[in-house]
Amino acid sequence: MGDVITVSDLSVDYRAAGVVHALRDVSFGISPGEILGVVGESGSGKTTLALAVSRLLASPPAQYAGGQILFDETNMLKASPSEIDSLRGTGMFMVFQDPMMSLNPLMKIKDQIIEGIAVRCRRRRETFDRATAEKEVNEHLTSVRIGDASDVASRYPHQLSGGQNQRIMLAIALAEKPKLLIADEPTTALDVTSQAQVLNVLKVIVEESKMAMMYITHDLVVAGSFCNRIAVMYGGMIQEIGSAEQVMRDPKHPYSSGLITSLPSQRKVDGPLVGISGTFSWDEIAGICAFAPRCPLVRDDCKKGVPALVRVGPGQVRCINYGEKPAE
Amino acid sequence: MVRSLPNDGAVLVISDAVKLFPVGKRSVWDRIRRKPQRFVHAVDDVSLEVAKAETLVLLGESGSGKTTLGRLVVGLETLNSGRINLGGDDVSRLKDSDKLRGRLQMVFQDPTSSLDPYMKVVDCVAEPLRKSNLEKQQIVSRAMESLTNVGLEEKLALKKPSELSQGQRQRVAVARAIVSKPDVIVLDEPTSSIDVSLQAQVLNLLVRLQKTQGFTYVLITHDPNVARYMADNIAVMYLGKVAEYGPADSVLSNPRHPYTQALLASAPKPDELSLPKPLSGEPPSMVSLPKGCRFAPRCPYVMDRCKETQPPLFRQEGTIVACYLYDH
Repeated sequence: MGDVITVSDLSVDYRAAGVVHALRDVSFGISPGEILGVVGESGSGKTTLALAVSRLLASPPAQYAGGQILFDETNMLKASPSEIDSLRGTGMFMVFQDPMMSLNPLMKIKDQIIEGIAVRCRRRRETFDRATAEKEVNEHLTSVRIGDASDVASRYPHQLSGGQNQRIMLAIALAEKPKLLIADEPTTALDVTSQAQVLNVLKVIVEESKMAMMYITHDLVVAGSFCNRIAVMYGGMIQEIGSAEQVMRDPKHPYSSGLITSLPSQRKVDGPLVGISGTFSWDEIAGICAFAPRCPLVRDDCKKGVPALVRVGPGQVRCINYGEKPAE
Repeated sequence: MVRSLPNDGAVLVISDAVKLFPVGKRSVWDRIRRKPQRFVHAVDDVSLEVAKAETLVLLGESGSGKTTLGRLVVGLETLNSGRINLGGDDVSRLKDSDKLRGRLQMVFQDPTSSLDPYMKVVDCVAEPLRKSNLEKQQIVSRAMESLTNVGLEEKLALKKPSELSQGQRQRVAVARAIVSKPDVIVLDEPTSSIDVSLQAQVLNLLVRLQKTQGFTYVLITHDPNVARYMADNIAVMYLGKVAEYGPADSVLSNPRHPYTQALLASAPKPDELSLPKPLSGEPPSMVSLPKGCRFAPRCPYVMDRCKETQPPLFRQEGTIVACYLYDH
């Protein structure tokens, strides 16, 4: 299999006063140049998944409770902290929601990107030369569509807008040339116009450099317009996974279709939005289908156990309405 | 020049509203040298109207002045010039706020910070009535009625906001806004901090309250999809000025101002699975705005005179547009 990352049956618990099964049996792979969107509401486990894959979970309270993560022939759950460290940046690169928290406020943009280039040179045993690095900085800034590259390079993060700073993060990613880019809500704090700029830059980067990408978002519309495949998460489990087109146009899981009909695509005179009633709570879902308490199609059988992820057409769905075949 | 859309029976009339914020501090030396104070034109010569039981959406990015305008309407900021009329009374100049008490309410973006964590839910909701002439018993029953109206169970009334979910808290904020039966409610991004499924619930609630009890809304949002669902009229704002103003159908399905077109193109749409088109460039600094049209530096149709003078508002079949393309 040519996947950059393969996650199989990954489970993570949070142990504090009680135990929360934050992730259960999560499996997926991402191939080079592919964007996997991980979509879910707050509490669905999507950010835990991003942190678990990159081994950034704070432990305690988090605990790996099973499964494995294979990244580029490294077993992430068995690797030593120094091995993990050497993968960060040049192996897997994370982009967080707020770029101001990720960038160093006391360093010029140029120096932050050069730092990335220096790390790459050291690890790949390339010769590092400051003058060529500075030229490279301008190239990267131009590829993330920063207009006046040399001017922006000598500024500090607080002098730039949120959208520009997020693109600076992507310029650093370009400098480090990672195999996997994990983006956790990278455009949530941005305006629609900045969001469109960042998404377009990301798409080009992924396609040109054949990175694999995991894109975490609560916004199904963005995921549909941007990702190749979408995994819909709820209650720490993948409820549906399939191509973006299939999940958006023909959702199988009642939760996925609820998310789609929640989107305001009509006018108020056309009647109320068909949303999802209720709210998510960890207390109600032990041993049953996680979505059962809110599902419009719920039956008694839904509460007899956790449904398996079964193959339906080209995708997979975790819902008892789709066969009793075991998951593949 | 066109001042505003003809609209009889408007509850709220904003005419020529201007709000300036001073930038930086002037030292004594600056004063002696008569160095002029610099200002940010947060709201610049805005005229809008809202009719009873209708929704006016202020659509724009951060920095467009939409939140400042909303705060001016409820009297949280004072106008530098212009007038805001609420059913015949001048909001901006009324000395005794008793006459306005309870007639204007606001729902903020983040209910966690807009509700007092030490107050019980019922007290939060009853607070706008505290200065009214009602008996204590009546106040409590009005608050309970308001909670039922927003779909919250009575047993939640004695809880603290921290014991509620984010969606429930936003319902409490709505209950507090409607308890005094105000003439106008300003909703400042009421759903941008909550998940899509809860967003649908809150939007449905707002529309139901408007239909059954005739509330008038000024909704501030950056999301064209929310605007489409909620709006009767839309004012698109860019850097403190109205770019386009008209009935929602017309503005969204036939956007005339190049900025409106760019804004709508950069928002991903639920029914299209294509990447949104980005707008090039960054908005200019609020302190040193271009002399002519504020959108001219980013506009694809820019003409010479756009750079020289600010375009007035031109009427175009029911909508008004601040763009020289429509100067026939």
